[in-house]
Amino acid sequence: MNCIVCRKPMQASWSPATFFQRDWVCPECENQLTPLGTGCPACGQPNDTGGVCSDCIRWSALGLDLSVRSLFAYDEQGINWLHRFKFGGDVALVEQVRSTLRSLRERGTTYVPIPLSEKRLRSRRFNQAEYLARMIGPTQNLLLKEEVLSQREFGKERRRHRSNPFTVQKQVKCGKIVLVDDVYTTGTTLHQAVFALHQAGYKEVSAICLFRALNKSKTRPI
Amino acid sequence: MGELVIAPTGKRAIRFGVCQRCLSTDVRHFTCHHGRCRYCRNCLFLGRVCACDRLEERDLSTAAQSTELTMPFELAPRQRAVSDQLLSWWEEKKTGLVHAVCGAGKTEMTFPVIERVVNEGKRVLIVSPRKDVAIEWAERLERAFTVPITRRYGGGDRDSIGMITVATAPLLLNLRNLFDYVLVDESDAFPFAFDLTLWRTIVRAGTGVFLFVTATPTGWQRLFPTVHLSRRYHGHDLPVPLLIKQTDRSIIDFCQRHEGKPRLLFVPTKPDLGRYADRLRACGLTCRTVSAETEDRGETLQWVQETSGIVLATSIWERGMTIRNVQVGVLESEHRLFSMRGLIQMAGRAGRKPDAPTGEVTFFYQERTYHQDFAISAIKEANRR
Repeated sequence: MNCIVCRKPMQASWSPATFFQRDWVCPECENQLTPLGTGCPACGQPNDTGGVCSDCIRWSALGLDLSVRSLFAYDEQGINWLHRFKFGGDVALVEQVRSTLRSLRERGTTYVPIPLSEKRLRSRRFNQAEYLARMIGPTQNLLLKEEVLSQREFGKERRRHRSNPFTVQKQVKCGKIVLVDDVYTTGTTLHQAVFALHQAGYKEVSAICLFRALNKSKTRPI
Repeated sequence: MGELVIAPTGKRAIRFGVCQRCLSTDVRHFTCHHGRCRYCRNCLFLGRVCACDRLEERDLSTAAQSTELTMPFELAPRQRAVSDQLLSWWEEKKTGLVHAVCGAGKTEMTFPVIERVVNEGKRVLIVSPRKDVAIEWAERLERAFTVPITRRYGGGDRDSIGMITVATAPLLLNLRNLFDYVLVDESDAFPFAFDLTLWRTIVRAGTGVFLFVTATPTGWQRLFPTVHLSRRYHGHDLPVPLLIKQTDRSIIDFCQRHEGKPRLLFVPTKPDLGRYADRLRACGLTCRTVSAETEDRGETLQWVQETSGIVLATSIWERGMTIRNVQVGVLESEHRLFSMRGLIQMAGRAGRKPDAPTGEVTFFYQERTYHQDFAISAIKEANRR
């Protein structure tokens, strides 16, 4: 039995329990992703003081106060990991963050993944955010996304000034809502989704992101 | 007859829990866009296949080219006998084994038959266990043949084939019935010995005529018609390993006795590299270490050749590697990771060049084992034959 991330053979001592355990992550790969330290309470952007960052002040000035819980830094290893998971399609890698995600579960909370557009879902075959949400707890597909161009080609300005692609597809009676996404870069996606949910009448919304991109917002304020 | 591609029609990619492209059973359930589905984790590097994909064989044919051969040196009579045997096997379309000692010039002996096959308009595939060895093959072939050589290994050109293709086995997963003559170099080496699906891969990529080339064939390979060559091309004996009790003193003695020559010390595992390197450095000897994780093995090879230094290596360097006038020591030769075949290959690193045909090979031991004795007697027997 090999490590699912690096494929090295298992070094743990053998026991009847390991016979039933198909997936194993070696200790080196466990510590591969770097957890975020102290940072902005609203988005997880690392800073020394733990104060609210300028991006989030701007968002709250627009009337959207959303607190995002980010787990890992989107650095070299994070990018590699996410590319293998999302674009390479190696879904089994999610075992590596399973226990971390599972510990975030709260009672009476519905986890809503950020959806993919129909066309993107066809080509990628799975929704990576839905996978992460399922790891945490009970999920509901509340949102729908219409076709937009890929985000990665846009600059920061263009990304912030586009119309909201999200619509709420059904009204469900549920308590707290937690949005789940894979990467938080500028926060536009999450805030747009929150805006759509607020309009549909859902009041208590927060979010969880697996990775926080360490952007250059200090050098280039928006 | 061609290459497997993901297409709307064709056979299902995963059937009975087995990936039809790579024959792996590491197949995982996941949720596809339509619902429950499975995908193969073993061949992700070729693009993912899941159970709702279909695989189709697309024709992959290239124009036949003829070639001219310029031999790097004239074959000795013994080598000529072997290469004539290879030609007659090709006439009869028979699979065979070349059992030749390390440093017998196995590469050059196969050139005439490769030329014959190519000039008949058939494709040749050369499979090697590692990328280093594949690069070495491609360079030697390029010097000898006029036809372009396709390099199908990681870092080379991964998608194309040609009249002569040099490849590592994992990149042949999606080829079917393409190569009329498959030459498996070092056919008992690491990836083939443990992963039986790689054998199936090679068998499916070829059309049935194989040639196994090795110095240490495994049992089932000996069942094929065999041609032996137990002399090196310069005609000298293989160096017979000495057995010396391993102490720090004896290792350092070995290094100091061969001052001014490149010295190569094999260790069993990666943690041992650091341990022994520290001990040598404490005695004022400079050394470098080589393992599978070392990025620039070629650069280290050049360094040891030029400065006549000491290199500590894991078994990654036990095959397909030539250093002029090298002295070989095997540390902890009783370790279970050193097989009989591995020990024979390591001893075969010494004395491979005609201008330095001898060298010292030492097995350092703490215990005497059957493996050491078998390796030594096999080398002696090859010398006697």
